[in-house]
Amino acid sequence: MTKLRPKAESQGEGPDGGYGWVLVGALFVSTSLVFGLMRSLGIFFVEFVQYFDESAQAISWISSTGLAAQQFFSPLGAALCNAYDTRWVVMTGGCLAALGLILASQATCLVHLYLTMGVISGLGWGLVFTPMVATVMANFTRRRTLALGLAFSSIGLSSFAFNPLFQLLVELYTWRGALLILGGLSLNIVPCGALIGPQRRSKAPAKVVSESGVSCASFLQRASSYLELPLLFERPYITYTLAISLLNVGYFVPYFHLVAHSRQVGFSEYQAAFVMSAAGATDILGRIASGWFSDLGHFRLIHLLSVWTTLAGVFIMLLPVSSLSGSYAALMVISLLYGFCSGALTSLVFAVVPMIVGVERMMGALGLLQLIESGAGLLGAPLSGLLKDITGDYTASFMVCGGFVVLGTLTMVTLPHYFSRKDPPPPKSLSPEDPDKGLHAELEQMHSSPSDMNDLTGEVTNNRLPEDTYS
Amino acid sequence: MIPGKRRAAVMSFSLAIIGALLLQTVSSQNEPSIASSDHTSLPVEGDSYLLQCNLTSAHSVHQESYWMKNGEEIAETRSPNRNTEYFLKKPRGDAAGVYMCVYTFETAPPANATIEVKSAPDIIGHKRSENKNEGQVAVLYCKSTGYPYPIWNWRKFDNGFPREIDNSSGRFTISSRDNYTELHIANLDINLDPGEYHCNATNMLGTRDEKIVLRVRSNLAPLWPLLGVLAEIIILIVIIVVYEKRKKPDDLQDDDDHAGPVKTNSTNNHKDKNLRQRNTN
Repeated sequence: MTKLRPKAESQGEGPDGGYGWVLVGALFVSTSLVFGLMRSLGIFFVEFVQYFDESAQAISWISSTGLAAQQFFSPLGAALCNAYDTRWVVMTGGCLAALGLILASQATCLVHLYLTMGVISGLGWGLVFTPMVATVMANFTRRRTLALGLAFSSIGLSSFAFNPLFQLLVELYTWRGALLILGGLSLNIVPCGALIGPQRRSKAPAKVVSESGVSCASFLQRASSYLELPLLFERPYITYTLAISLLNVGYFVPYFHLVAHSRQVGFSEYQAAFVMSAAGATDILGRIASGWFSDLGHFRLIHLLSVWTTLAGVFIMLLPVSSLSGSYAALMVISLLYGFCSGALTSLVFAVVPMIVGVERMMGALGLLQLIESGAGLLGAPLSGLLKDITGDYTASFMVCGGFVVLGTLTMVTLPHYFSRKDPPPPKSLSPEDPDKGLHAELEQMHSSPSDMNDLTGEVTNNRLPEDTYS
Repeated sequence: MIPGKRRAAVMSFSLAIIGALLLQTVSSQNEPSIASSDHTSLPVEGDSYLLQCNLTSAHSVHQESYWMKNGEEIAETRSPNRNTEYFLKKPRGDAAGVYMCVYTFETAPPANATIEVKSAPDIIGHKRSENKNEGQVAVLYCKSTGYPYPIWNWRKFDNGFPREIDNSSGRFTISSRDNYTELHIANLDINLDPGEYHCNATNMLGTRDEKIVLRVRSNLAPLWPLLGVLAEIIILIVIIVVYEKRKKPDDLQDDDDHAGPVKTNSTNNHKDKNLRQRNTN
C-alpha cells in the first residue's frame, strides 16, 4: 500500500489509490449487501404471500418501507458521522441491518416484517450507505468516479448472484432460516466498516467549541450543522437536488415496466425477461465505463452527467416507439442503450456532489440529497402505473418518465457556472475560528459544480412498488 | 268358491293386467326413444370418436338438445336438431367420463341417453417433491383422469420395497374422492417420515403409479451456516483490529493543524494522532 499523505489540503483533495482501493472493496461489499439484497427480496415475497395469506401489494410494502427508511435515515447517518467516528456508525448500521433480518425470521405477522425488515434494517442500511460512499469519495480525487463506478457495479452483479442464491436458501431452509442466514451475511458490513480507519474531524465541531453545556439551542445548532441543513439554502445545491429528484421520478421506471411492456407488445415471457437481464448487464458496464471515462478528465463531470441523463431520457422515450414496429431487435437495442446510460449516470451522480458543496460537507450533502430525492422516487412508479391504467399501454408512462429525466437535465443546466470550461473552485472549507460566520461564508462560496444524483437509491426504489417485475 | 264369483275375479284380474300392459304400451309410446352411440374406451381406433344421439320417436315437440359431461353442460352444444353429435377429436385421458345427450321438450320432461367413455387412469397432477419442516403437516396429493373413477392407494417405498403405510401413530390421513386423493401427514418426524411415497390409481381398465419424494428439514438446520458466517465475520474483524494495532506505532504521522483543536466532543484526541490517518475532509 502506498503511503498516505494525510495533510489535509484546504481544497479537501484526497489521495488516490492505495488504501482507497481497499475502501472501494469495502463499499463494493456493503453496497451489494444493502441494495443488492434489497433488490433480491422479491424471492421472499412469494413465500410471504403464501405464508401470511396477504395480497402482493401488502407484501411489497415491506421493501418499500425498507428503502424509504434507508433514504430517510441517510441524513441521520451523515450527521452521526459528522459528530462521531464514521467507522462506528457503519458498524452499528451493519449490526442493525443484521438484527432486523434476524428478528424478521421470527416474525409471526406482517406488521412484524414491516418493523423489522422495514424499519430496523432500513435504519441500519441508512447508517451504512451514505457514510461509506462519502468516505470512499473523500479518499479519491482524480479517480473518484471510477472508484464509485466499480463499487456500484456491485449492485447489478450481486442481484444477479443473489436471486438464485436466495432461491436456494429458501428451498433448503424455508424463508425463516433463509432470513436468519441473510442476517448473518449482512453482518459482513461490520468488517467493511472496520476497514474505515478513525477519522480526523476537521469540521463542524469547531462551531461548538464556544458553546458550553447541553442546552437545547446549542444541541439544535450542532444538529443542524451536522445535518448540513444550511445547504438547503444554497442555490447550487438546491438546483442539483431538484434536478436529481426529477431524474429520479422517471429514470428507473423502465426497470419496473419493461417486462410488462414487452409482454404487452407481444413478446414471450423469456424474451421479455431476457431484455431485462441484458439491460442489467449493460447497466454494470455503463457504470464502470463511465467511471473510467469521467476520470480521464477530458470533460467536466457535470457535462458528462448531462449527456448521460439526456441520452437516458431519450432512450426511455424511444422504448415504446421501438416496439411499435414489433421488432425484437429494436427493443433490445434501445434497452441495452438505456441500461448503459442509466448505469453511466449512476457513477456520476454522487461524484458531482463534492464539486458543488466541497468535500467537507459532502457527507451531510449526500444524506440530505438521498432524503429529498426519495420523495421523488416514491412518485415515479405509481405515476407511471396510473398512466398505464388510464391509457391502457405503457407509451404514455414511458414518455412522461423520459420527459421528467430530460427536465432534470434542463434543471441541471441552470446551475451556476454550468457553461464554463473548467470546474469552478469548490467552496473553501470553513475555518474553525469563526463559527458564527459559517453560514454566511457558505453562502458566499456557492461555486460548486452540479450535484449528484441518487440513482442508487432511485434504482432500489424499484423494489418498493407493487409490480415486482424488476429482477 | 261360487263359480260365478271366480269367473268375476279372473275377469277383473285379467282386465287389470291388460290395463297395465296397455298403460305401459301407451306410456312407452309416450316416452321418447333415443338411439345413441355405444360405450367405448380410450384409446380409440383412428384419431377421434363421434358421440351420436338420434331422437327416433317422441310424442311432444322437442325444443333443443345439448350435451353434458360428468353432470355439467358442455358449452356451445345446444342445437335444435333431433340428430345431435359431439365430436371427440384426439381424445386423451381427460376426455373420459360419462357423456349425456339431453333433449328438452315443451310439454314433457327432458329425456337423455348416456354414453360412457372409459379409460385407464392417468395421474396428471402431483408434486414431484415436498420439503417441509419437522413438526409441520405435509400434504401429498395426486390427481387423475380416466373413467370409471379409480380406487386410490398410498404406499411408502423403503429401499425399493413397497410397504403399506404404518399408521400406528395415527398421524396419517388419506382422503380420496373421485379423481383426487390426498395423504396428510401430521407432526412430521425427521427420522421416520422422509422418503418416497407412491399414489396408485386403479380402475377396471388399468392401473397407474406416481412417485412423490418427501423431505423433512430440521428446525436447527439454518443455524449451521449462520454460525459459519458469524465465525467468518469474527475472524475478519480480529484480523482488521490486529492489523491496525500493529500499524499503530509505525504510522506516527503529523497531525495537520485542523485535526487538533477541532476535536472537542471526542475523547480520543490523542489516540487519533497516532493512528493511521485517513483523509476525511
